[in-house]
Amino acid sequence: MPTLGFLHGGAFHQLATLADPAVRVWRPREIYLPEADAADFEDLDTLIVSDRLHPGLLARTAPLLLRVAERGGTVVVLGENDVEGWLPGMRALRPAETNFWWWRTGGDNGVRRAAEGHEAWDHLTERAVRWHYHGLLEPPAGATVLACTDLEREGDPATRQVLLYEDRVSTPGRLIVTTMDPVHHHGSRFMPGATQLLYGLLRWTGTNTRLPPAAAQQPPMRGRTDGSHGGG
Amino acid sequence: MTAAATAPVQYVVMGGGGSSPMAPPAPYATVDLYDLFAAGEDLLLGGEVKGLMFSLNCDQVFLERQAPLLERFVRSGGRVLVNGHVVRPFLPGLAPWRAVDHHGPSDLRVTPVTPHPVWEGVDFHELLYRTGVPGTPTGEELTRVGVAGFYGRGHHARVPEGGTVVNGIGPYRLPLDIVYPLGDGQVMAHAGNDLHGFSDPDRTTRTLGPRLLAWLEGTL
Repeated sequence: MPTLGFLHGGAFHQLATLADPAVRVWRPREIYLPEADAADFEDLDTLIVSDRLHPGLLARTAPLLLRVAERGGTVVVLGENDVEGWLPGMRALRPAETNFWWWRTGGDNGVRRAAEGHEAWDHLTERAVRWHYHGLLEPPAGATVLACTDLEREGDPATRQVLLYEDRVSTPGRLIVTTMDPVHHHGSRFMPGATQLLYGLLRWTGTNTRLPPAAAQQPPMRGRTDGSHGGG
Repeated sequence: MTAAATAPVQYVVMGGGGSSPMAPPAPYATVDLYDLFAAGEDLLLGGEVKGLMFSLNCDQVFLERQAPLLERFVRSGGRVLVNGHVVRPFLPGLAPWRAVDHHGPSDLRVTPVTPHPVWEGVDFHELLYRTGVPGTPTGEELTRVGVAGFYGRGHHARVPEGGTVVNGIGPYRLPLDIVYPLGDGQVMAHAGNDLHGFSDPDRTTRTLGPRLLAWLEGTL
């Protein structure tokens, strides 16, 4: 079984997530950010960087945690984190309106899945990526876009309005980056889609210890519509 | 510490990062959790700081370790608002959060149990629902477009002796907002998103923020 680390900052939603039996089955090593040191990250196959971490402490710890990806492992960086300045590859993180209420008023929050056929979708439901988001990512060339939004006006959704991507070009390993904050909402018992994203990410990155070759990158499927998942 | 750090009410946050689309500007100082305690006893026990409101995201592992100093602050007359879900009770009288098994807005309804001046004049229907649609929908329209749960999704497992349930959640009015004395000070615990964020200038909740700050200062 892969060795999985979970970087947290002592917030209630992070502690509640770590106490969840469905998370404990992955046997996460609990890494408390204020005390994190190099040894904590040394032998990890996968590291989950929880959402909403203290920005100063996170930036200070970034060189240590990135060694997981530099050694060929996977680092999952969740949303509502200040990642500019240390996250390799990412070209930009731009603000976006956070729409908590779309499912009460309109039925479509603009989220589009991309790279159909990617292994991520063996683990992530449509609902896992359709709840809300806290910003727009511009990934590096060569990264695989997994979800983007048609809303907002920052440019091509598939390159400048990205919500979730996998980057196997910026490090020898893999960076999975999102602007969604599933730990906060799962640990708060608020937003069922967030729970699906968290569990799906754990299954995806906790199951595959050996990365498949970063072969042909699929272009994102733009403009795909899917109206099957509304509701909160 | 900056001059702002000696404002009577301190909003204690994790580095000030993260977006908060609902938080209005307010006349209090924002301070990083670790900076606050790094400043030592002189700041917290010196008398200039009257009240602390802890944002829901605060590091409870750290707060548990700082519990003795925080308790001395309250016992010497300070007031504290604890937002969010308590996992590590870091003050005497705090109890772990318990989830409500909610299946709809009525399970999350907020009901006043004991009148408290901080919530005076507030329409509790407007605390239950949040919405981002243009304008200020009220009544049935707010019920139709609003999302419940921001204010609370659970309750405190216990209320300490001498404590008061201010507001309850769901049909059994479980303790969502509580207040209790500790020494010469008081602790208020709100088991949901940061309380001052529910103060909206266009709603009956407009007085909630100013009254909360006055309570934390000790003038209400």
